[in-house]
Amino acid sequence: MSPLPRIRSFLSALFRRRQLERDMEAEWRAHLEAHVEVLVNAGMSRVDAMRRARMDFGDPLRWKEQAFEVRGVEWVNDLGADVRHGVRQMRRAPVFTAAVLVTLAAGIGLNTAVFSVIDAVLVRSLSYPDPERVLWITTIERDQEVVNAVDFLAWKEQATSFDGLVAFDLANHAIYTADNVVQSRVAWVSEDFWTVSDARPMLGRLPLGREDAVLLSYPFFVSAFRADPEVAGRAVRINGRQVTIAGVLPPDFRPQLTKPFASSGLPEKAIDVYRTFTVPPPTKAPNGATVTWLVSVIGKLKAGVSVERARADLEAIRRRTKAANPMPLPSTLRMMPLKERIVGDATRPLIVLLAAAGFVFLIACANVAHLFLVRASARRSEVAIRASIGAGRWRLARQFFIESGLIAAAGAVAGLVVARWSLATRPAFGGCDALRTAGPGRRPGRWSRLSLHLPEPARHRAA
Amino acid sequence: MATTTELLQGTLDLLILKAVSLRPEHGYGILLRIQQISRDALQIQQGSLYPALYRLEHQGVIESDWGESENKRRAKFYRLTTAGRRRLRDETAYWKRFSEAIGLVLAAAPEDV
Repeated sequence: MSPLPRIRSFLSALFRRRQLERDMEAEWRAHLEAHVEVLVNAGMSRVDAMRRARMDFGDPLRWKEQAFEVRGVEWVNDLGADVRHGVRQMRRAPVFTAAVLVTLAAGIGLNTAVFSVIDAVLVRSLSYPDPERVLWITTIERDQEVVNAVDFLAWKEQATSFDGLVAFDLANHAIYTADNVVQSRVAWVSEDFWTVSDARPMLGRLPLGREDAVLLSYPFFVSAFRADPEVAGRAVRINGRQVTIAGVLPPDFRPQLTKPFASSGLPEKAIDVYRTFTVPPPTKAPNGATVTWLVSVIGKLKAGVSVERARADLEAIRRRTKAANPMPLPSTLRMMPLKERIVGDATRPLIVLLAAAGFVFLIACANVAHLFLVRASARRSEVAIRASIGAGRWRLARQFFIESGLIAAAGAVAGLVVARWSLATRPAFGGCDALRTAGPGRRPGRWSRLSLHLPEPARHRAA
Repeated sequence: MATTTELLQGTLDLLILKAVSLRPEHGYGILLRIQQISRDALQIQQGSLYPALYRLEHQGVIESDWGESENKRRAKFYRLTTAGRRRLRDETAYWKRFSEAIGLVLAAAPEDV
């Protein structure tokens, strides 16, 4: 039999109870009147007939109950009564309720906050298309994780395993607009960046080839340019140079670039401006030293190319470059998925934190259970009375279940509030970056965009 | 009241289904119809009629609508649904088999055994 009529009648019994009751009463009135008429026609006096009809009819109150029982809505009404009773109980014991709520809020809030951080850092992937193909590439060992521009240029020219190789760098610059000066975080990015990050400006266009132009991030566009749509095509001055604003990137454009090193003096900050970066070839200093740029590099593998093959590809090119242009610094090539580089050493502290939060939650649960036990023994007389006036075991159990369910729900809501609040104050709480710099195993490297720290010219003299 | 027959458990539903299958009836009409057809042998307790009607309606085998009775009163008329017709057919067949079997048993004489 199709369940549809049952569901319909269940719902109408639930939501149109008054209407159904009125219908029943009208139906019974009509029934009684018809019955009286039949009796009167058979020769009974009207008064007798009415009394007789009522007697025959029985007790319609019972039928009403049965009508709703049949439709299966009685338990819903009982549930409502239990919930009301539960709320009354909570109000009657404010200290108990508050203690439970605070404990639950702390436990749930802490867990939610920690898990939110873990979700953001570990679970969610990079905001690049095909994130698994985006690699972090470095060559210079000892304290620095960068790539010599000589290598980068050679790779860019000869490597066959990459869809794109991006050299980038982060810096703070003052930007002079027509009427204002704004400090901004600038990401210098070489031209492949636009394809690797799949940038699509919401206003204006991408820089053409190696054109010296900037793209604004959406928040910076709003804060520094008051979201003026005319901004694309205008010129601003950065570092004393006139640069065209090519366009504005959409709000959801947030490609991760690796964080600046602690020793670079740059704090973690959102990027305001992307500027095209043309990696210059090495030059000779007047004293004969080779002056070369050190850049950060990310590369996007061609589809189907393994990391191993890409490594062999880059290694081979490096050998040739070295032969033609020996570099004095010993270096090894390292490649790892960009995601690993960004979250890498935050993983362990985060997992430890999660475990700790889990234990705190366990303790909170134990506390709450204990409080409920104490309360249950205080309420024994109430239970005894209710049982003696006919409440069944199931009914009593359900009552307690609903009471604890109500408190748990309230605790969960309070926990969410706590979680939100602690996430809003995350800098103090410590996101992944604080963990990273505090974490073991990474020595902060000496790092600057332009590598001029070559103390012994002889070491760097090109052969 | 003439000699009436106590209803067997479960037969009330069948009688109601049969009564409303002849033509849509209101509650009191169903009582009268059953009395009339059974030549007053079956009298439905009024107290058990409405709970049975509500149960059947909930099961979706009958449905109801407000209409006007023969003496110009507003009344709720019950009629069979498609599911109800199927149910009536099945239960009728069952009842026939059942009563035949009972009849056979009761008609048995010592020499038959």
